[in-house]
Amino acid sequence: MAFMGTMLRVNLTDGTIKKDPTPIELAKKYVGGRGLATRLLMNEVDPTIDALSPDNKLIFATGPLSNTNAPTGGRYMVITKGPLTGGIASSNSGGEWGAYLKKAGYDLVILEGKSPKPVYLSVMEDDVQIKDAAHVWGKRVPETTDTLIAESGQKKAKVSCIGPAGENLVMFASIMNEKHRAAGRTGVGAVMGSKNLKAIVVHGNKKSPIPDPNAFRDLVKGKIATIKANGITGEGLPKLGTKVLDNIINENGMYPSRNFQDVMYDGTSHMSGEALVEKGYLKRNSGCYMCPIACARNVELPNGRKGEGPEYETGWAFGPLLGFHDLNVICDANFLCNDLGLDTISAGVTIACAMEMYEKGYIKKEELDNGPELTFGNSEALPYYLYKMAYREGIGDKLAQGSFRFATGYGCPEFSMTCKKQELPAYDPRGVQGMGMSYAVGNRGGDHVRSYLIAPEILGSPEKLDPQAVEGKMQWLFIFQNLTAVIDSSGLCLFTSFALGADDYADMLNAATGFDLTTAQWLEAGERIWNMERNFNLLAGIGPETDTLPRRFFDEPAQRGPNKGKVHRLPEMLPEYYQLRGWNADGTMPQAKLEALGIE
Amino acid sequence: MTVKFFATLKLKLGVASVEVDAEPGLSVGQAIKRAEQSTGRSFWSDIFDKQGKTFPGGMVLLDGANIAHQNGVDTPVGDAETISVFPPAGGG
Ligand code: SF4
Repeated sequence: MAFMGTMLRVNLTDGTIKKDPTPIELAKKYVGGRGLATRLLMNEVDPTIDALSPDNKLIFATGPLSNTNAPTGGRYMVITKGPLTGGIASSNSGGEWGAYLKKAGYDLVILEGKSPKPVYLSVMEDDVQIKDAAHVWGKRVPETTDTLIAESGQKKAKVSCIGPAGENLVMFASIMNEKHRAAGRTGVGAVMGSKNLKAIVVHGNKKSPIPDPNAFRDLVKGKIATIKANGITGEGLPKLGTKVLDNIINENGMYPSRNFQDVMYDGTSHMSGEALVEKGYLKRNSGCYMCPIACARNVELPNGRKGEGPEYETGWAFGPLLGFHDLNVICDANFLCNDLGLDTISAGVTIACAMEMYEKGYIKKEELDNGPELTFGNSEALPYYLYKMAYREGIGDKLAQGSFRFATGYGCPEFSMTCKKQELPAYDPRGVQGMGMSYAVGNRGGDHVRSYLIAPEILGSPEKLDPQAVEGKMQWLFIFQNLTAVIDSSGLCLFTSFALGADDYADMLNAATGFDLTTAQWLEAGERIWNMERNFNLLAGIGPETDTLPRRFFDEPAQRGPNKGKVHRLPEMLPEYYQLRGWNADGTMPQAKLEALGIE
Repeated sequence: MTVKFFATLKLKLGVASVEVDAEPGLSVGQAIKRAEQSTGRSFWSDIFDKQGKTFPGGMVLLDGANIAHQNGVDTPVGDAETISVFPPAGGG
């Protein structure tokens, strides 16, 4: 079983709350979490609607392995139509909130309409209520979290909420749970804000029903042992977290700096994961629900500020990408974004875009209202413009739309480092051909976690591929996209896949659900999810012409390092990718493909 | 030439890099052995399996280019200036 069997349907317009049976029969085809929620969104929402209108729906979804003792079984997904790309928005978060939604008795929450006033949803097992949120509207994430936990009367209650950025409809606002954990990307926080929904508070004590709990426990023990024995998940991630990548990616000549104008950054060692330890800022590591890896960093700065992070992407977006490497500034900006509910990647890349435009004369000094100059290396600019974005003040109002709309407004979209209008993460496509393709064809736009080809192309896991090779890469991309869809939908963390393979996930899913599907059938479910998301985008008007990268990566060769002279070779790979997917040569989707995968 | 250490290896050794003599024809593996001697600590088995292949997540770069796509530890250092050594690490 593994499912609680009930989902909540909350209409915020009229305040009705319904408890519907979870359509478990769909789980054989769509697994749960990301897959099942996208299926329901497709059934219920017209992909062409305005993402911030009451017609949109916002779905919080757990997977069958959430709230089990499977390693990392605490994750959840937020699925909606996104404001940033205009296509499928889908964001994953860790912590404990996902497990606690199931402990309260529910697999999913579907939020419809728009509340006439700020509210939050309280889910205390059978007692589910929409409550007034006037007193926390406008408040930052930590204060909101503490206030609502106190109000629930349950010390262990978990809060998922938006900050001021979500309220102000910043197009890359995040949803934060347990203060530091983010459903960060694709602007899901803006959709929550558009519904006048500040938070969802969950608590309960229910267990997920597992057909044979003893057999499941034994199975899971073996998977945990595999994770602990792996060099990446057993040693590298616990000791240094994701920030260990700074030097790795820089030394490999693909660490973008100054808005991707350069592919390396000279001050990396001053702000790297190693520096965080050597400077004594890192106090300890910690983990999400049932996580044997524990990659989270707990940091305390010399100024006394404490918090979690920064992750690799954040450290890069708030440092080298902007031309500086002050770890204090980087960490503080990370804390600020968590408090305000801003996606750190999109925020940093948008500021980098503005810096390049300012240096090149597209933005005039008068537009900055006496604010710090938007020049690379000026660390003073970072917290100032983050704040301006979140509150949509001055030029921050335009920055809050993300770099694509911002740069297009000045007639220079070429400075926006985005795919499908979402900002790119911290791997330069000129240095890693497969990962570049992953950005270009990603269903949620520029993004690294939907097919993390850095694992084979750079880290050599599960085997080492040449990052500059193009032959055979699309087969890897195909498999990684499908497998990741299964992992996300199951309720587990993607980092387990450094140690576990497709058979391991199939084993755990079968044992938890009682289904008897082969690994190939689970992977086919992943393929079905990928195609369904693509179909949502096509119906939303995001066509194959968006399967590309910013011009910079084709026209401006890398200037130094091991990839000197290299550009991205997308035209050599895209036709093969379409062919492997079984799509038409122009990237459109034949009806027969949808039928073959059983997508209604 | 310079042999640079990263991640948990840097923390274990307590130094960021050492200089080693590298005559023409020296292999990457031999240069790393010299770096081991220079630090006084053995770390070969943290990086390489019994066949001399780097563990998943570990890597050795010769002026930024991964030796896995050259001749592994037998790759001659040539006129390269830097070897970068990473124990297994990862993230995203
Ligand atoms: S590996 Fe890190 S992000 Fe993933 S569940 Fe564990 S602590 Fe959370």
